[in-house]
Amino acid sequence: MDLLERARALAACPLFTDLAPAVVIRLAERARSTALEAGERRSTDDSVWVVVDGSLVISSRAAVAIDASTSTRKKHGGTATAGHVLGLVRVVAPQTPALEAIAERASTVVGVSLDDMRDVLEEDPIALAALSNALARLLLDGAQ
Amino acid sequence: MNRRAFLLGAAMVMLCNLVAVTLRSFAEVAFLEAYGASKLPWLLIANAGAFAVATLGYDLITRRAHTRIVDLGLLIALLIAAAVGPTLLRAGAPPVVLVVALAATSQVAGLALWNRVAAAVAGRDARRMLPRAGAAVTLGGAIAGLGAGVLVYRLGLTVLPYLGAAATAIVIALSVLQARALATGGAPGATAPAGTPEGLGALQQRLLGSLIAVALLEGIVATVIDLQFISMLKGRYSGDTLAVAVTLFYGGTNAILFLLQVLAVPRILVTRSLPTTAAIHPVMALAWYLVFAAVPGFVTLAGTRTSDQVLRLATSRTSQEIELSAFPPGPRARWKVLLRGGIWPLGAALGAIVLLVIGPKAIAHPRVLALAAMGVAILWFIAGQIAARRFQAALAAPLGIRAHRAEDLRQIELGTLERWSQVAGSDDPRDAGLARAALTRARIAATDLADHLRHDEPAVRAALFEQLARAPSPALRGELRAAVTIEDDDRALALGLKALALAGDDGALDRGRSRAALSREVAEAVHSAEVTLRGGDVAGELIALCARDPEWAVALVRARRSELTDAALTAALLAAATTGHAGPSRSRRSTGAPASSAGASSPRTGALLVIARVGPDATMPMLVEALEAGEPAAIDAISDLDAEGAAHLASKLALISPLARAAIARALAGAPTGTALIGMLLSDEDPDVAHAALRTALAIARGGATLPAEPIANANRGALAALVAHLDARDAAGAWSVCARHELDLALRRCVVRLLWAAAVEAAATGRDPAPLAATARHLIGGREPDRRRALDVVQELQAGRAEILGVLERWLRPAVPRDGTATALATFDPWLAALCAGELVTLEPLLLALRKPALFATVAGPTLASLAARASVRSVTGTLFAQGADGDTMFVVTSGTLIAQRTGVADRTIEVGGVVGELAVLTRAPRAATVIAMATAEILEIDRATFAAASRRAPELVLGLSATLAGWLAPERPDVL
Repeated sequence: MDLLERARALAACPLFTDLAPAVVIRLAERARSTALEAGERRSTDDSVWVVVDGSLVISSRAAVAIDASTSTRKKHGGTATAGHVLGLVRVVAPQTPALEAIAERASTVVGVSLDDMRDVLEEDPIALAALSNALARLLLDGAQ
Repeated sequence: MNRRAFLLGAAMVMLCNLVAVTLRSFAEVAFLEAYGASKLPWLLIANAGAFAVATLGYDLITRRAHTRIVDLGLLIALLIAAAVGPTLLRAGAPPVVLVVALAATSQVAGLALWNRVAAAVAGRDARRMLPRAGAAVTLGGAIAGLGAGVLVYRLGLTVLPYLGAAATAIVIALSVLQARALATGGAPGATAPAGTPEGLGALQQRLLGSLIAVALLEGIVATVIDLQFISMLKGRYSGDTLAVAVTLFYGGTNAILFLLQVLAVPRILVTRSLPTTAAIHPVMALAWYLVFAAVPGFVTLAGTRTSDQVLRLATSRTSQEIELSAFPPGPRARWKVLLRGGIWPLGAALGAIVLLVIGPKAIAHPRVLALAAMGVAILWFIAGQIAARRFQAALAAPLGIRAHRAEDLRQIELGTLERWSQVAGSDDPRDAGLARAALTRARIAATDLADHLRHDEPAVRAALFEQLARAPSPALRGELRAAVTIEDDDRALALGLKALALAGDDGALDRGRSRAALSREVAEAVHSAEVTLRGGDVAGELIALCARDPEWAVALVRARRSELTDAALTAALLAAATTGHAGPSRSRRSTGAPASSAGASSPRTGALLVIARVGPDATMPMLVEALEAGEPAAIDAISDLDAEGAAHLASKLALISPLARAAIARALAGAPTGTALIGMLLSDEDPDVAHAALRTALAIARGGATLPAEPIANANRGALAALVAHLDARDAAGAWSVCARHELDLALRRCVVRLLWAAAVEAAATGRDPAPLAATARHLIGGREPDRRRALDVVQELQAGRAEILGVLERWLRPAVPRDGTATALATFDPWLAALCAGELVTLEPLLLALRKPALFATVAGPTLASLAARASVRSVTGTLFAQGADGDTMFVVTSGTLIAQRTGVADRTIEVGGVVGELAVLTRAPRAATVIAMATAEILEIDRATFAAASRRAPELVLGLSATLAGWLAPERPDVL
């Protein structure tokens, strides 16, 4: 994926819709895309992952054992598909437990390191406010 | 650091080396006397092989038995071998067996005991103290060498093994005492933080691979040097004279090494990056061999060998010691022994076998042999550099810090350029905005566009014309005119006319006029081009362009500035800015539309952009007001600045308030052409502005732009001086209030961050990636203790030649050293904090303490929090604070008592002291999401939306804190964003 494709993948994520194109491009510059085979794992220890296509079973490390089965993980976590972003809460709240994500089938993800994501948000207060608003919207959606 | 265990260990390894050198001198002389110099390669092979076998045996046994017991057994075996050695020789035992047994046992014992010393220290203490333990080892060698030389003269060779046996007995006693000291006082160098894996990860395995290569190559080179030197020595001396020469050489070598280890190596290890340290030994070996190849002789060869022996222990072993610190304790101790006792001797044996196969010819042609050794030394140097880089990667990886090679966007392929241009012309505004941003970021040379100006797709042609309008190129005027003259798409034609007009060319106006009647877009472009090129109602056209195409408006002002008085320009811009203005203007950010898109922005948005780039003095207050209010259009105007616009704004900084200057500094993160302006803001007298400018300088440096050197150097000096002043204040803070000390602690963290940002920007100027160094700041100020220590090591590895940074960071990490004094120097860097420390803000302190409790305000800069505290209302509440569904524009911080949040269908939530409620309404203007009540009287601080917004404009970290609070609520419900 070239820079623009990575940027489009990031921009397709609802949480990033309010970010200015220049900010998304800066994020995309620091992002890398990865093709995952079924069964491959990624964690949000030090990266944020945006699902471009495919699906991943996700679960919090705090909720399931490291060798838990896929069905147990699904039960305690869920499934992430295109447009989902994994690990974003850890950008602003690093003490949040990390997620384990396992590709259910061949999937593509775009990863940005936590440090890079924080850097971009700190560089651009408007981007930070946009993300804050997006988180607030998620909370309000949950409250309704 | 376990000081007692370290001191006992240092004494232990010193005596152990005394034993090793004594026995080795005895053994080598006995061998030479028995077999002569022609059999020397056999001695080297036998020594190396036996050392390797003994090491592997030691490794096998220690994996099954307790290391302490094995070490004790080894020392007892050494004592016995030394004591009975002369008797066995006299009884007719083959000297080679004795030689090999004594050398192998004493060397393995040395390795085993060294691990026990290393167990007593960790982190930077290890970098500082282990060379000193190494100096103790060397001292033992020097005493043994020089002392043995004298003893052999007076008492004969056979005294040496008895001396070694006696010293071994003392080592055994010290070993027992040191083991007890480690058991009682702890072994920091042999324990890992909780959660550390016991095995080697992928990065560590790669590091191990390169360490093995380094050890093998180093062993080969050492053997060649040894062989040449010893054979030359044997040619010059014989009998006891030879023994004296050998022992004196060992003694002299160790004396030089001792001086280096005491005076230079600890400093090198705590100030230089590992690639530098690891390069010293192979480079010096190469240099000495070069001298030897030029002037072959005993002196130059002696220099080569001395340098090799000294540097092997002074820099190569210490480099390896540091590289192995990236391993967990178990594999670290094991591989230290195996690399030094197994792999290195294997390399030495390989070298010796090759020399044996070549035979006497090798000795007969010393220059050829030297050249061959230099070839191996070059490979050794390369392997050493790879190992050092892999160590850096393994060191930083646990902190999530990884080197990331950024794409060079100036080198995109033409196919990519075409594809991006196509997307830039698409109907999807979001995609088009991203493509334009990518093209802007790519900074493609205008000449690269020439071949595509007649592309089949009109959208691509339009995007290319727009690129040329953004960066007019006189060299391309001919191609551009030819392309526009045959253009049949109205949008592309309008943009082509604009590009030509901005390049000062009217060659295609006729083509525009021929289409003007059919297209309003083309007609407007023709009119704007005519005014731009030939003049006319410039003010009227400016107002129109502010709404339609602000970039063109800027170009119009620049082209016809002589026809516009300041008053006329001001009037036109103010007229545009107030047209339809009712509150903050709509930003292009939300649509992703470019500044040049027709109808994409309000006249005010355009006017702000024009003011930022070419506005006269009288228009600056409008820009300042918009920036202070955080108006997105004003922020966009700054982030879209071109180089000429940045220079214009730089000339107006004196008219701009500190708050607006800080906003400018932040907005420039997206404007790589604003480097000169950022350079000026870095030296701003207001600390907040300078801080924001430094953050932006880092972002710009990461984007690959070059910043002016002098302001960066000044920022570095300023950041260092500020941290030192704050540290001095900390030492004098004994009698200060809790609030003052807490604020000082926070200010110190900000200083640390600023210093590392400045160092990172400086690193970028030398072509290195600034991101890893900048990332260490977070781990230093917020990490766990092991992470902080590791982060400091990463700082050392990443910053080159700035030892003072490490020194001051270490001072910050150590406890304060209380002393009497005042915070006079602090006032220069942080007047607010100096006033607080002097007790001048005592009435504010209770409020500040209350506001620091919630995580939301925990890291906000003191002055910002103080102004927020001054505008917050203190309230007592009993009963309902607010009801679910009600409107609200204030948030509350609990300062005493508790509140209960009740929401339909959800369990009640208790908000205790330091908790925040109502933040969602402040952020989103949504109705209250829950009913909040106080069961008993609670004290709260009420902060309204305007106050919070104003504070967050000064301190964006407030928004980060708010996001963290929201994330905390969100985490249990939304694993997909966890």
